[in-house]
Amino acid sequence: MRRSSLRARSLASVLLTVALPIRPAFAHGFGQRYDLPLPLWLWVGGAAAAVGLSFVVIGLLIKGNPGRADYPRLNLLRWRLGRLLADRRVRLAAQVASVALLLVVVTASFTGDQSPTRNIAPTAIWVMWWVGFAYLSALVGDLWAVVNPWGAIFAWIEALVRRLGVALAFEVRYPSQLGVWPAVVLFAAFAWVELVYTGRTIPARLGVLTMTYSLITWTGMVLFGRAAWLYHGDPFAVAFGTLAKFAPTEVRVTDRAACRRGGVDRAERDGTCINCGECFDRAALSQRELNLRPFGSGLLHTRDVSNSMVVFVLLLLSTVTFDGFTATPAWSRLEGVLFAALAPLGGLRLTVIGSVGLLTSPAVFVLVYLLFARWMARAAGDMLSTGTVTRILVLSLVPIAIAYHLAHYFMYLLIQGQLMIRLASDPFGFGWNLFGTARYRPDIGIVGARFAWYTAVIAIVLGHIIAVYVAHAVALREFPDERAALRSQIPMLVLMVGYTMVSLWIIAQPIVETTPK
Amino acid sequence: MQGNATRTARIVVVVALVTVGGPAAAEPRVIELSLRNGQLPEDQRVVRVQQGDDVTLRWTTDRSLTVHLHGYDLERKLSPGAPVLMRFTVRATGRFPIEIHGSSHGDEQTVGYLEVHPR
Repeated sequence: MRRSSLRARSLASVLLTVALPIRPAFAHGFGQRYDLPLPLWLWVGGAAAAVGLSFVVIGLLIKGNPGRADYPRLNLLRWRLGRLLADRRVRLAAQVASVALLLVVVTASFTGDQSPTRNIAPTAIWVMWWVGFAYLSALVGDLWAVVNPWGAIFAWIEALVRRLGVALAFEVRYPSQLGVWPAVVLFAAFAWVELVYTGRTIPARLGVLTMTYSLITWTGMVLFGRAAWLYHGDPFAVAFGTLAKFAPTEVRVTDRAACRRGGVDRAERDGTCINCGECFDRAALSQRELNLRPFGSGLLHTRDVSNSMVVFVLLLLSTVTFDGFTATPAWSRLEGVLFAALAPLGGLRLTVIGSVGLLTSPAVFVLVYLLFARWMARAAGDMLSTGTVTRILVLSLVPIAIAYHLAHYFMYLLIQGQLMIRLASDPFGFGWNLFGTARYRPDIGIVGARFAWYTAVIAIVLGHIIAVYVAHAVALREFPDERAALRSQIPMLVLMVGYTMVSLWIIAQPIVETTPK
Repeated sequence: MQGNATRTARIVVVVALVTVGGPAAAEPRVIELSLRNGQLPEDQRVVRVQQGDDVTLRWTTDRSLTVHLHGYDLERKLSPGAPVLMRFTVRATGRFPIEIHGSSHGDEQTVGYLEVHPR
């Protein structure tokens, strides 16, 4: 049975009437992928480098235990350019642009041409925003916290009605035992839309989903206040915020009082708080920092990692891996078998198989991680409970996920991203040519396979090394005994090598869109 | 499901194709692709070429349909009898799906892949 044909059925009527420069097969969130699988020698080389360099990192760490020392930081606010970046007016301009873009996308989704590549909405949402912002968050900083249009709109309206003497938010105290569970549930729903739901490329459906998300977000903000909802309930603020812990920039406030308002205590051990925009705005100028820092160092902060946060991180990692896995021949064969076996379910089969797969992947991640956490705790002589080990070490897996994500989406972003050049001139598919680029055709040879392969392998190996470093540094800091800390890291290294191998393996698989008969 | 043996056989065939039929750069290469009932035979489902090759895909079919090579975005209408040629120089590397549509099912099917490997 052909998977692409079944997926395409709902779209066939739309697609076949329009001659498209690129006819997408809808294998992923959106758009066609042309990646060549990694050759065997590069796979072996990458794997060997990951394992070998792990021991180099460990050796260096054992010699120079960083202990509780903080990481090096460079405050950009010392320079005029840094102060300009943090300026309220610059942020406001970015927010206005972001809100305008959201309005264009939502309007286009409802009123524009319903073909996925002629309407700006699918490309803007799946390629530029979801994949693009993951890159920006991980490689630049928590920019989503700055430009989030839903947050901006709410803040503007809140400021407006406050002038009339009315409070927009009820400011119900957020129940702390709820942790980030709302974000976990909403993120799972989003992942289902991205990876399973067949209507994900149809502009009008995306419009309805965007409106639904807006309603949920603003309801949460009205109930608990903007900051509390973004911190606990908003799946994208939490997801991009988690990725941004890896980034080489941070916003820091050195004022304990400013870090502890509105029912959320963001303060770290030393009384400072990181990447809290609200806190930054409250703090005095002298207590604000906009820092450059080494990649991955934000992941050393594990104080606010709750059990729900552990599940969120594992869910985030598992959906990225599941996305890659569903394009492999192995999944294709499994799907073929299930497809035949589940014949009574009829047309719902692919959705059912996809949904079960999507639910299974985080369950497997959580189970495997818990088993390894138990092993780590035991290896360290049970000096820390399994629960504590689970919470302090989960963030150290993030660099592997980021590296895999960068490798997996590199060509996709470079090729599918070019659609924006055309769509910018004709966002609604009405035949406009605002910037004279409406006839632009994506260059599929923008970079060669060799370049893509090396980028992927280097990213995965570097991500793995940073992950090993972070895990060791956290263990050396948290365990009361250095030898116990190092013993705890043997299982962690096994887990990380395994995770890295899975990532490399997926990239070495040919992307398949059909299910063999 | 396909057995490992057939897969290995397919890889051997493809490797043989590339090594035996793989000419020096820019020498024209003709690859036969024969659709039967809207499907390619096992050994024609992955076409491997090298970047820079001058490639001609020579299509034959037993029923009328349209083939579409993604990425390079080439489309040809095929009908039984006369072979149809798709000639082009492979510039961009990658793995490009080959789809047919307008078959009796009335929708799109991926029938194979063109793999362009870097030199």
